[in-house]
Amino acid sequence: MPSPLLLERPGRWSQGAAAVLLLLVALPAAPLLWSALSSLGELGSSDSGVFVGRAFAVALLNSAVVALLVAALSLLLGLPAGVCLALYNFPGRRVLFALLVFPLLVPSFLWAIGWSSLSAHVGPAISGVSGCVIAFTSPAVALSLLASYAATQALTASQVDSARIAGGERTVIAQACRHAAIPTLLAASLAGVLTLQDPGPGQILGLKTAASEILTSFSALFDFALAGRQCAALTLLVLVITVPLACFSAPRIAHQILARQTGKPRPHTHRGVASLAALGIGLMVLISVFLPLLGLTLPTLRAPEFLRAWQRALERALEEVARTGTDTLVYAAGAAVISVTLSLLLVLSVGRDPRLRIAVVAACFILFSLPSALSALGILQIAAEAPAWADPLLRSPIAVCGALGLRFFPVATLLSLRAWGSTSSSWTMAAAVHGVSAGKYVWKVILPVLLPSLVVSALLVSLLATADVGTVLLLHPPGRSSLPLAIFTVMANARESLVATLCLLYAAIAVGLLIAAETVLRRKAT
Amino acid sequence: MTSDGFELKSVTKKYGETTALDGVSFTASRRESTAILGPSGCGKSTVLRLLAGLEVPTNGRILLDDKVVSETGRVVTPPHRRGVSLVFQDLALWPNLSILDNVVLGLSGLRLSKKEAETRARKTLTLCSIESLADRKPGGVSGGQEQRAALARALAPEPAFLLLDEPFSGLDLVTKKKLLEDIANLSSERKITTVLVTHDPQEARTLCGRAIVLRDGRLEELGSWSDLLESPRSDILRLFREHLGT
Repeated sequence: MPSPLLLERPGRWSQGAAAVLLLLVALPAAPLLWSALSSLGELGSSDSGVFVGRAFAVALLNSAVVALLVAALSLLLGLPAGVCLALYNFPGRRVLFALLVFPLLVPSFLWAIGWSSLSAHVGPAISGVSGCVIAFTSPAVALSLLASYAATQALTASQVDSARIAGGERTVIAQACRHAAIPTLLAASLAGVLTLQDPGPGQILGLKTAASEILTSFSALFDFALAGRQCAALTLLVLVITVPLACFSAPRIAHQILARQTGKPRPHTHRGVASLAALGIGLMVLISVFLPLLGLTLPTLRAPEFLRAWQRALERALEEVARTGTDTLVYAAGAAVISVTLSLLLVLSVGRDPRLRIAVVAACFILFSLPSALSALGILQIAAEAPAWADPLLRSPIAVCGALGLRFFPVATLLSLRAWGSTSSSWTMAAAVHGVSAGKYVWKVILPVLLPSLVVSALLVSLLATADVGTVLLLHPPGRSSLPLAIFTVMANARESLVATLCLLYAAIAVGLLIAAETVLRRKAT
Repeated sequence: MTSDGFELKSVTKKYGETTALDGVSFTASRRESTAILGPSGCGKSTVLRLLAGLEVPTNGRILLDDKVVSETGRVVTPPHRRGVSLVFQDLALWPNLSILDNVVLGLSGLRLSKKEAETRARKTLTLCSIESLADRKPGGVSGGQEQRAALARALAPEPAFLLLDEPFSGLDLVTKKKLLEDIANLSSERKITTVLVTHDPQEARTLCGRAIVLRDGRLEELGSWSDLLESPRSDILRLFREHLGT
């Protein structure tokens, strides 16, 4: 009968289990990277233009510029917004918070379509680098805002009060910003890095980006080897940025991720600061959420017979939702189950070992920042070389679920690590003293305690997986597209009103799921 | 000479570079309850966890009724086979389970049937005067009631040793006094030997006939209360004697 103390006394087994799980997640990328590196030798040239194509080198530069600008903007906007949302109370605070986070849960190309449509109907042209920066800023700000908010919430109520006594609201904000700066910088950098692998906005707003070049090499030029090399080059760039960042910040994040028993700062009502915060955040919501959403509705609103046009578009959109709904759900649920299960196993292996926890946080950061096409193309390569009997696994929805599950496994792991931090080691010791077996203890105590967090984790992963167009585009079996992919593929040829309605429907479904997650969190809190 | 109860022989416990216990030897007999006293960080809780089998000694041996239960680098007898129960400082009640289910799950080591376990759990809850709270979760009851729930879970398996790790910290004086009396009565009724870790000599004297004083991981003095208070060597007992004198 294994003792529950196994969970509290990490040894070689836990290091081994953690290493195996992390390797499993990185495994699909390995064959692609290997073949890309071997082909470098075959090409016999150090010229990057020959290795990845000259157009890709330009696209990579474009992507890097966009990533840098997006990271800077999201840090500038997300840091103060997160601090103010965590520290001050004002009317509509929760709604504004939810609205600012919302862009993270829908595909970025939706915002690009919104901005593109808005500029086509009413405003100056939004395209190229500036257009991509604008489109990417909404989800990027959401990510840095979440980091800044969570870091500020990690301050204790007494720390905030002592800053207030020492120097008033200015000192409170300055101290909180200082405290939240590093996690927000990390989140902003991650947001920037994530733009490198997202082909959507670039394709819509007419900018050649590295991610769209990879898709073109694979889907239009049918040059798998070139796509692989381009993907490897992009991965190299990503690693150059993320490895030092992960090494620098993982110890701090691993510490901050632990739940604390201290009183959290309660939002303070200060008329001056709260009004200013409400105004600033309201403006951010207006620009980053409402304007692109208005852009999505304009094609229908401006149609000659608005109601009839709306009705037609809605009927057609609902047909599309019905056609793709099941597969979208299968991909989302499969990804959620895989990532949450793997993350739970990893967290149980890591236990409370601080060094393993830091290693896992660093690994999660690096894995999450890797291009999603890397794993997808890796699975395609494995499928191409595997015997026919492996097709039901490698050329089926299971492959899509697996790739998406592994892609978002780091997100589930970070949430599970935090949830595990809220459990007490003395529960395990009590179980050991009373002769409760490890299995029974996990089943009767640990799983029920972690359940709300696992549910939230699963919901979040399913939303993120649904929003990931690149992986599904590369791996989906014929005729088994997801809703966002359907939007992505029809947007060039379909009526503007249909694309807009599909986007709005998708946004509405995402809002529904967000409300469900919020309900679960509230239940957990009570 | 044979001993009945726990015996620590030159036990050292290190956490990384930090030495929590340094070559400590003493006996905790079945015949008399023992208090382990000392300032914060002196290694009191470590002793209790070593006795329970929750920690592995870095060096030395621990014997129970002359049988080695832990030795350098390994636990020979697992915690649930030592006949001990432990009331933790933070009580360690499983928060998702009702108080009854906490006690029932605490009986897992005895391999009783579900019905037997529930009957015994209810009986123990009655003994601890919290039968009406059986279906409540630990978070939904008062601090004193939580202490009683933790005590019920510890008593239900009918242990030979009840190990108490500062279980009264955070309780008001009235609740603490009542609980101390109840534990003393239950221990003598059920012939349970108590080992109490505390930094409060008053608590220790109410519940235990002898005391051990630790300082910086070393044994400072040990003996019966009358001997210790006659010529105390440790600061804690000197101050306590002065306090009694006033």
